[in-house]
Amino acid sequence: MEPWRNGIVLTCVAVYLLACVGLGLWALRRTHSAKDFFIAGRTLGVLVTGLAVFSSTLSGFGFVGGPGLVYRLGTSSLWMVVCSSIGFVLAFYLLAKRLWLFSELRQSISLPDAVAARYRSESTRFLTALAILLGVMGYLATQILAMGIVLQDVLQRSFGNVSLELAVGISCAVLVFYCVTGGIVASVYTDLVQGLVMMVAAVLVLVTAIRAFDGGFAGMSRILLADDPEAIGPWGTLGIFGALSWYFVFSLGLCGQPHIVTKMMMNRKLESARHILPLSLGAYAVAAMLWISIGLAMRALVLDGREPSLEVADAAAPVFLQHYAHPVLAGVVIAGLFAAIMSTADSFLNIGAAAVVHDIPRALRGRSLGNELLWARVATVVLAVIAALFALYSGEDLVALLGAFGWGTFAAALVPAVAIGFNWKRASALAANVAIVSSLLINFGVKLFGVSMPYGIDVGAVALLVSLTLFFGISLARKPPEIDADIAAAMDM
Amino acid sequence: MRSTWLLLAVLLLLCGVVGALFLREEAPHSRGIAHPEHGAMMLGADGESRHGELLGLGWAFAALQVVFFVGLLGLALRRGGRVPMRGALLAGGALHVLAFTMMFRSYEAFARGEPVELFLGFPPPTAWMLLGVWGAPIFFLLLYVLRFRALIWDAESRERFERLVAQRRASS
Repeated sequence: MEPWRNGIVLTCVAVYLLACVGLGLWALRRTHSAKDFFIAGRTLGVLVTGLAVFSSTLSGFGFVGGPGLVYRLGTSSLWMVVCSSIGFVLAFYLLAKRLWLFSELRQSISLPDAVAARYRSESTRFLTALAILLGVMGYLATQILAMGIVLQDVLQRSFGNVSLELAVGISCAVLVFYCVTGGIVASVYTDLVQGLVMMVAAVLVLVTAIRAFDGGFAGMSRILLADDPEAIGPWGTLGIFGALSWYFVFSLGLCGQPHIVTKMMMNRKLESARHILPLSLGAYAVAAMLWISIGLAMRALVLDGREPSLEVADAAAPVFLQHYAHPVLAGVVIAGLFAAIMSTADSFLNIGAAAVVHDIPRALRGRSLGNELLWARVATVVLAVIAALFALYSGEDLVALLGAFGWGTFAAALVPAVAIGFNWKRASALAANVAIVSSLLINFGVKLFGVSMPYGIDVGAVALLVSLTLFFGISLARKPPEIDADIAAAMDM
Repeated sequence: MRSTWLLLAVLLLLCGVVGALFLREEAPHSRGIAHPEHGAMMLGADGESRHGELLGLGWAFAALQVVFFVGLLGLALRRGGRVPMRGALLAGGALHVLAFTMMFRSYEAFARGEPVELFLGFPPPTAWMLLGVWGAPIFFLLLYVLRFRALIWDAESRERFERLVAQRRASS
């Protein structure tokens, strides 16, 4: 089958993209209101919500950047994976119940809606929506760029020279089509397919990587140990504090990712949360095997002299698939990569559209736009076009800056205000506003001015630590704020 | 209310750990050095010289994180000023800290260059990370799944909430 490798990969990608279009058309009939468009009418079951939570968490970074980081730094980046167990636990304990209750009580259709209800503050709603919009634009641009680069590579192998603009145009058209027609309904049902594709791809890659070495992981470890024991030690080459700061920001930070926690407002019954937690964490753990196995395998293969040295670390996954994976597996994994990117990008488009048509207008003029469903669809197209233009023409540095800004900013801005404030009546709107503003200033300031953190500590972790400390300090220093009676009652449950 | 002061104290201690790092002189290879043969790879080089003096601070950083996380779980579960199954939460936290402690202890020997016997394909400290640190929070997951009605949501809460929703809709 080797001579047909490129054709098989292209077919797998085409089938996947067509499936997304089909799901978009199917979801169109189920989307009648803004509530359907943004939170799927709160009708989702365990399987769909569980896989939507997991597939929104694992973006294209997990399929390309993750293995690349393992190739480059050894085991350091595995802390971003290892933290998932406590991260999912924290997110479900802190938010699955509160968000669902607030959403049901106040008919909230977005995270800033719930924030405004909790704090009785339009300024907190506005800052939450602004932080979401800034993070979304950065994340979305990097996801669209990644999608375009992957599709360009797939198309070029079959058709010769293909421009990045065309590849971005095709992939964005599919993404926008199903997001516009079906909103979050299409998004979560494509997430279901995407999550399954990712898990199948990860298991197959794990088996392939193990079979590439005598003794499987033990064989890889011996090669890595002979070259540099630290690379396969618990901290990797980055060192102890870089690794542990990732543990902090990626575990607790999960509670502040709006594209993930918003899914907790969408399940039909609160009782489903007890099944959604193990499902989403289990699925994530399976899919993360791709991250771990490809990264370690490629580092060991290069050190063993079986593969030439890579020029860029991010080539680890494509090179491994090209040389070690059966053509059908390569096709499934490339489709899985698209799935990983799109499942995150569609969530961003949806919460970004909610910020533009619902949250920011409500914060500024007390009501959202008329005919919200129509404007949500328009905003989805506009956001995707802006992000695509931004990805193509703003220069790599700016895209990388905003992309890196994403997770840490969401974590530092929203963990205090949302994850903690929804569980602590003493938390005040002022404290939430200060936490959000300080996180934006630290994350942007450190990146813009090139400030270096000691011992490789992650900037997002420092920003999160500062915003949490300010949030607790300010709330404890002031008298308890007034909370609406229904919200206070929900917080007592 | 005291518990939130404790959480603030833990945060200040975490800030203290990070602040201490700003004041220390950093070893040249503390965050790795370029691999001499493979351009896109980094080396960690000698573990004992770059981490030997930092292990205590590193353990404190990890243990304080776990204490903070367990405190947040308690905050999430608190009802009427009480945290149900507090003993179980503390036991889960202790298990998580124990996993970190075992990883640090086995890393001490690993960094000194003592012979390594692989466990499930990985050096012992890495196996502790992958199985122990990753696995320990499963305790909290099981608590959530198996004790959902006692900890999170029972029939009585649901009835109260349904009344609350009905009141709210009637008044608006």
